[in-house]
Amino acid sequence: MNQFITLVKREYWEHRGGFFKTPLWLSGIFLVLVLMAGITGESAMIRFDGSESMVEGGLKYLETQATAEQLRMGTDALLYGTGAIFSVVMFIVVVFYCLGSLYDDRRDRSVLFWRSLPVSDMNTVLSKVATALLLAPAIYMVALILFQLLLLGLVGVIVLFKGGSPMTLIWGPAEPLSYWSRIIGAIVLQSLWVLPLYGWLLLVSAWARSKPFLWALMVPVALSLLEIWFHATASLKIGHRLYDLLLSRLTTGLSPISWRMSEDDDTMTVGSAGAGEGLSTEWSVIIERLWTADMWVGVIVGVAFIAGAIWIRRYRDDSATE
Amino acid sequence: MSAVIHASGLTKRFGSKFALDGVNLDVQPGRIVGLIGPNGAGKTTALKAMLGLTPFDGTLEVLGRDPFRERHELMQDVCFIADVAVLPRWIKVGEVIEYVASVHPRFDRSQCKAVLSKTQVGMKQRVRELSKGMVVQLHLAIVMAIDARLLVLDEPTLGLDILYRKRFYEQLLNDYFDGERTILITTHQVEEIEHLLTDLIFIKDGKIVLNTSMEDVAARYHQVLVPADRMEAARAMKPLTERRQLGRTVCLFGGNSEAELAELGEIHPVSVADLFVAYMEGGQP
Repeated sequence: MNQFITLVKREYWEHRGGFFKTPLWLSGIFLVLVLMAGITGESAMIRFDGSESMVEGGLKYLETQATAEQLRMGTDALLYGTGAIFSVVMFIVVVFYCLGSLYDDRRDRSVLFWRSLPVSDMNTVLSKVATALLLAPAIYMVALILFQLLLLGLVGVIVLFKGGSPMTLIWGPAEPLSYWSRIIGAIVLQSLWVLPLYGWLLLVSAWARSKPFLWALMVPVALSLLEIWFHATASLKIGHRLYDLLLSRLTTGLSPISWRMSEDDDTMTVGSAGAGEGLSTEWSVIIERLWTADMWVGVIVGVAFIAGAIWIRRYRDDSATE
Repeated sequence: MSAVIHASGLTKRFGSKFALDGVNLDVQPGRIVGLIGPNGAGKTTALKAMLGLTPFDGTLEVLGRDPFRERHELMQDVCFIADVAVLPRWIKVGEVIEYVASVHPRFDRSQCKAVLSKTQVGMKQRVRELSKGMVVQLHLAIVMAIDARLLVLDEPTLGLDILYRKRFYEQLLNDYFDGERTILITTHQVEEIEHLLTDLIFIKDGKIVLNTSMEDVAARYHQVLVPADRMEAARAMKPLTERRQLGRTVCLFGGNSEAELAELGEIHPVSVADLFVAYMEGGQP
């Protein structure tokens, strides 16, 4: 177990950029943008009769007229919007991480060093899986929580400076705890949902002698096209299924709160921007979606791809002729 | 004691080309073995098979294990340095030491750091910031801190300057080799390791063409400076090679007694490089 933790740590060391610096930069940029909007928002406003700016008027209006429900929708929009962006960024980082994880060390030959140590290929590959499924989401989740705390604080302070009451407008209605608990559930679900994709990327990463990105993309695309042109395996629909498992999940996997389970299911979005009622039922939606055939077929295919990646990792011998 | 490496009928093909063609080999513990061959002779393939990095046909046991099926268990007792640049370039020195300490039960972290403290390698530096020579120092420091039974070196000093090369082999012999461990080395710079080898293996076209001890080489092979008037007598004794040098002919003999060779001319000990050339150019002597 200690060894396995070290293997995951190794992944973190190698990918500090994607796993640590990226969420840090993302948070920093957002906070600066919000701060700038807060500062310039005031001076850019035209004052009517020199009395109060539109911002101030707007805040007063919200304080007196808006219902609690409407106010909560506002803060939800803040939380869901930024959360969605974090998860999109994380997803992109993890996709490229998977693609390189069993390829980069073969390209720079450091695989000869890693494999000269008493670590089994299975543990090596599983440490990459754990990094993609557990470590990366955990880091991004922690980063998101810290960032959103700062964000709510900052927006509240800006509201205060504009003459509004942050307690009434922001800190009172915001429900970050319930949002975070839901997004953790959504992340677990997303991880299982995109497992076939991650497994496929690891498989290609272990196999490709060059251009893993192109292979990962072109194989399912080519299979699908061949089937469309020749109707050869129309009854099997392997390409179509692969396409569904991999590429459509590449797009629907982008955000844990904007995926859908299948084409005939049109209740796809739980809405990233404060979709009121939909949010309160999200836990039940999550659990309901966990128990679908699509989900578990995907998980099984994903596990098979990972097993394939382990096997290839053992047999791949790149510098074959000295 | 049983052999550290035992191969019989070890074969590896790439398509129609045999990289290893029925190699039979036994390496005993406590030996320092030079595996010498021209490019493409199968040296690296042989090492890779022994390290479990490539599947093979035939029988191969390293420390009693099948290297391909039991690679990660085997690697507790085997260390490997491939030519210079295999340490990951992104990693920090401190990180690679922490990693090895955690995954290798026989690694002595303090010994590794003690060795490194005598060099310019700093714990916070990344491998990519180190010179080639320093990377090899780092790798050697790691390997020397592992209590292994077999050390495999594949062109370990390729591209290093003479100072680093000399220090590398000095450290290896003085601080690492203890008479019980086994070291297997491949290199092109034969002259530099000649004095530290106990055994010599030549490999050519995937076959072992010579497998002998250095004592045997010294006892069996001689070079004789033959003056022109003795050439006929010399040729009658079938030298392995002859070459012209400063108006005289140098003949390489194998298996003749010193007494009979002394009648032909001045006897000199044979170098591994000369022997290598004789074997590779002259076919089977």
